[in-house]
Amino acid sequence: MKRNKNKGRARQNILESYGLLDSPKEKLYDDITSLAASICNAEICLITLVRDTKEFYTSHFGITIDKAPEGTAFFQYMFTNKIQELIVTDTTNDPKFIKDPWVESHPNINFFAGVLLMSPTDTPFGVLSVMDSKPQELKSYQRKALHTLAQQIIQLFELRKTTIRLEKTKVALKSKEELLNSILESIEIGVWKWEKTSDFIQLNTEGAKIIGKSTKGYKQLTREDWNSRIHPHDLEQTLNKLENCFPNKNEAYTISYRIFDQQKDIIWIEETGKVLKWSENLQPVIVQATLFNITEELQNAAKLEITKRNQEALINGTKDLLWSVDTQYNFIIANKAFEQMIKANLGRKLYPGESALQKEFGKENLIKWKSYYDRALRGEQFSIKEKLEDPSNPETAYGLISLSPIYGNSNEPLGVSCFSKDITEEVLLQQVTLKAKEETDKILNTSLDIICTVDRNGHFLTINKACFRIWGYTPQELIGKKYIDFVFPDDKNASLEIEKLVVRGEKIRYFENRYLHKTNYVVPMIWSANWDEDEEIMYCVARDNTEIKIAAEQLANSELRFKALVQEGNEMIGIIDENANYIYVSPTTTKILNIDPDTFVGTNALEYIHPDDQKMIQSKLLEIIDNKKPITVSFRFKNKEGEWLWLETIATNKLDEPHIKGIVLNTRDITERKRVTEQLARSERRFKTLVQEGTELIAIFDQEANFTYVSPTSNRTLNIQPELLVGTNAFEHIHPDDHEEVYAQFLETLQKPQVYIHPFRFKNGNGEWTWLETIATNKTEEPTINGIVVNTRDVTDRVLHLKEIEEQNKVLREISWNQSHVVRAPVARLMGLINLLKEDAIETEEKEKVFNFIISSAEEIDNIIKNNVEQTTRLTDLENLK
Amino acid sequence: MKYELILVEDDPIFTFLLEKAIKGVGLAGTILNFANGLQAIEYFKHNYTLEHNYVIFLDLNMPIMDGYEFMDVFNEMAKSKNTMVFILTSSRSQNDMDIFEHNPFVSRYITKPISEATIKSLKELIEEKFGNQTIV
Repeated sequence: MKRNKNKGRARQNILESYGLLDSPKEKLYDDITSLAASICNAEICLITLVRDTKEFYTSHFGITIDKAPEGTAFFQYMFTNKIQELIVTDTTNDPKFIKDPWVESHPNINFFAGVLLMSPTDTPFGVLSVMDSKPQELKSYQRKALHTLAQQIIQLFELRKTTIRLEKTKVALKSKEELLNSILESIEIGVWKWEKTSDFIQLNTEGAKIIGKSTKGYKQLTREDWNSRIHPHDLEQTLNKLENCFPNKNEAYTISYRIFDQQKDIIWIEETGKVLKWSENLQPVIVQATLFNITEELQNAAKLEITKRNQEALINGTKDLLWSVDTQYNFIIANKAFEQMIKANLGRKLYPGESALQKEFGKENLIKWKSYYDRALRGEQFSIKEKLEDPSNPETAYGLISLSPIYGNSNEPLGVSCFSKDITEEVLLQQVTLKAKEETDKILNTSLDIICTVDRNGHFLTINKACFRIWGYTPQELIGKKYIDFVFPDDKNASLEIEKLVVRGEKIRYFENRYLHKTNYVVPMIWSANWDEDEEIMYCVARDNTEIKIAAEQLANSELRFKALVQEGNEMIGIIDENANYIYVSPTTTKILNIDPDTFVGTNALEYIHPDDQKMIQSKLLEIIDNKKPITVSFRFKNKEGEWLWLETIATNKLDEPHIKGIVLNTRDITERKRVTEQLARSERRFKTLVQEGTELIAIFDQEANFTYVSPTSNRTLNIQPELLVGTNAFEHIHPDDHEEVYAQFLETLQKPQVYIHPFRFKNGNGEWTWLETIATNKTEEPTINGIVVNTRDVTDRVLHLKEIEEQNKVLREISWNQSHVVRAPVARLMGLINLLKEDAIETEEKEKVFNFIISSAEEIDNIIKNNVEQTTRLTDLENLK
Repeated sequence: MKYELILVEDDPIFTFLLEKAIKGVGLAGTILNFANGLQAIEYFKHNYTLEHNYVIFLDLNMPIMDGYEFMDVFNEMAKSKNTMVFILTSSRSQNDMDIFEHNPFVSRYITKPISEATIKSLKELIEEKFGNQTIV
C-alpha cells in the first residue's frame, strides 16, 4: 500500500514537473498520435497520462474521449505490472480484457498495443497506445516506430520541463516543426508529406533512401516530379485512390504502385497515409503517408506463392502421409492422403486443433503414438516401420514413418512433423524373400543328407543342419572353416584330388571318404559335387555311409558265419538223392563222426543207420519225397569207431531246385541230449516212486501256511486224502499247544533257505495226534514251486519213547532228591548225636532227650526207605508198561 | 556292641546240636531261636539296628518260609557290614550252593551234621569280621 502510494506520489511529481497536469492539449502531441496511428494502421491513438488512478489524455486521435466509458483496464494493467510493452492481437481471445468496458462497448476495440512512458528516473507516468476495432498483428517496424515515438514523447516532456524552468519561454512554432521533423527522422520509416496548397512533397531521409536519393533531410519534390517517377501503368490508379480517400475523413488509404528509382529500376512502393490537416471548408491541407519498399516482399510473396502451390501440389498429390501435431498432440495440418486415411479409419474428417489421439484408434495405438510423439517432442528425430490400418483397403499397407520435432524461434519445441512413406511393396517383397529363404532353409535343414557350398579355397560357405547329426558340428562351427580339416587324415589326399577334378568342371558322383566326428569317431561319407563357374562355388551333397558300410560288413560277416557253420559248426549238412545216396556231405562230419566227408559221397545213408531205425527212416524218406514239408527225425548212426550216436536230422526236399536236386539234411549229434533226457526220465521216475510210495510226506505251503500241494503219501502217513488237505491251513491241524512253537519256526522258513521244525502234533484221519518232524525248504523264489516245500516224517513212536524216558528221569530225580534231603537229614542228625555221645559231652539230664532224638531219627529213616521202595516199584511198572 | 547269634532251624535236634556246639567252642552272645524264616523276619522288622552285629545260622528246608525266601526278604532290609549268614544244609548238591554264590551276606555253607571243629573255624571268621572285642 505504502509503496503504491509512494509510486503515485512520484508519478504526480513527474507530471507536475512536466507541467502536464490539466495543461491544454498541444498540437505537437496530436501530430505524434496521428503519425503513430498512421504507421500502425490503427483507428485510435492515445497518449494517456496517469495520476493516482485517474487517467487523462494529453492527445487522442480517432476517438472522442468524452464518449469512452471509464475504467478500462489496459493502462492500469501496464502500470501496476510495469509492463514495457503490451500487445493484444485479439482482445476477444484474452481473458484479461474480454470483459473490458472498451472492448464490450464503445470504442469496441479488438486490438491494443501500448508502450509505457517512463521518466529517466524509471518511473512510469503514461502510455502511448494504438487501438483498432479489428484484430491485427503488429509488424516489427510498426512496433519499433511505436517505441521510437514513445521515446520522442518522453523527450518532449523532458524538454517541456526545461521550458517551464526557463520561465515559460515561448517555444517557436518553427522549432516545434523542427522537433517534429527530427521525430520523423528518428523513426526509421519512410515518410512522405504532401502539402496540397504548395503542392510540395517532402520525404524524410528514409523515404529518400527508398527511391534512391542519398541526400539527408527532406528532399523537396513537386507533385509533378513525384508523379513522373511513378510507373505510367500505375499513375492513374494511384491518383484515383488518393482522391477517393479525401472525402472520407480519417480514413487511411493504402496504395501499392511501381516507381522508378534513381537507377531507373522499378521498385514497388506501398504507401499508407491519411489527411492530417483539413481546411475549414473540409479540403485536405496536408496528407502524410508512410512509404515502404515492398519490391522484395512482393517478389518473395510471388515466389512464396509458387512455392506454396508447388508444395501443396506435392503434399496433396503424394500418396505418402504428411501431418503435424502440436505439443498437445493436436493436429496442426495434414495432407489429403492423411485426411483420407483418417476418414477411412474414423469415418470423418479430423480438423486442425483436434486431438491426433482419437480413442477410436484403440488403446494400444494411442499409447504407441503418444510415445512416438513424446520422443520427437524431446528432440529426437527417428523413423519407425508401421503397419497402416486402412479398412477400405483389404491389403495390408506398411509405412516408414519419420518423425521430427518442429522448433520455434527460441528453440522451444512447437510440435512434431510426421512423414509416412508407403513401403508396402518393399515390405511385402522382403516378406516374400524371407519366406522363400525360410522355405529353402527348411528344405535344406530337413534334409538328412549334408548339403553345402564350398568356395575355391575349400571353405564351407553354407551348410545345412544335417552336419550336426552326422558330424556333430553345428553349421556355425563349420562355416568359414576349411572342409579338409574335418576329413579323416588318411582320406585327405584323395579328397583334395577329387576337389581338383570338380573345380575343373567334372561332375563327381558317389565319391567315398571318411570324416572325423566331433567326438572323434570315423564317419564314412559318400559325396556328389559339381562346380558353378559363374559363382565360383562348389555345390556338394553328402550322405552318411555308415549304415551301408555296416550292412556290407554284416553281409561279409554272414558269409564268414556260413563258412564257419559248414566247416566248423556242430551241424552236418548233407545232400542225398531219392535213393538216399550221398551227393554232398559238409566237412563238419570229420569233427562229429570222425569220418571224412568224401567217404560218404556215393555211399547210401541207410548203411550207417541202426537196424532198429532203418524201417522208420525208409518210411520217412518216402514221406519227404511226396511231401514238400521239412520233417525232423531222430535215429542211431554208426561213427567211425562203430559206436551208435543219436542223430537228429531236419530233412528238406530240394529235389526241384536245379542247383541242388536233392534232399538237404541238417544233422546234429543229440547223443548227449538223449542221455540227459533219459537220466531225467529216470530221476523223474525215482521221484515219483518216492513221492507216491514213500513214507515221507511231501507238501508245499504258500507263505500263509496253506497247503498248495500234498503228496499221495499223506494217505499212508496221516490217513488223510491229499485233496482234503490242499487249500486248508496247516495250523488247523496242529495241536494248539504246539501252535506257538511251530509258528515261530515257520516264520524262520521265510528268511532261511532251510529250517528244521521240531516234532509237533498233527491231527490224523482218525482224530488222533501224530507227531511229525519236518524239514522246510524255502522255494518261494522258484517260479514252478513258489512256496515252502516240507519233507515230513511220522515220529510219533520216537517222541513217545522220549517222553517215557523223561518220565523215568523225573522219578529218578525224585529219588535222588530224597537221597540228598530227606534221607540225609535224619542220618546227619544221628551222626551229630553220636558225636555228642562219643565226646561224652552230654549232661546226665540230657541223656534221655538225646536217646529220644536217636530213636525218632531212626524211625524217620525207616519210613523214608519204605517210600523209596514204593517209588522204585512205580518206575519198574512204567518200564513194564512199555 | 551287642552281639546276637540267630538260629533259624525247624528241626529241634539240629537246634540242640547247634547250641551245644556254639557253647562248646565258646562263641559268646545272645542266642535266639526261630523255627522258620517268617519268625526271624518278624524279629528283624522290629529289632534290626546297625548298632548290633548279627550272626545267622540259616536252614534251607523249613515250613512256612524257607531259607531261600528268607534271604530274598532279608536282602532288602539289612546291611552286610554288621551281618553274617551261614547256610545250613543237609544236601551236598552243588545246585543249592550256586544260588547264594554272589550274595554278600552269605559267608559259608555248612553241611549237616555240624561238628565243633566246623564251628571253631566259623569263630575265626566271625572274629575276623567283627573283631575280638565283640566277643564278650
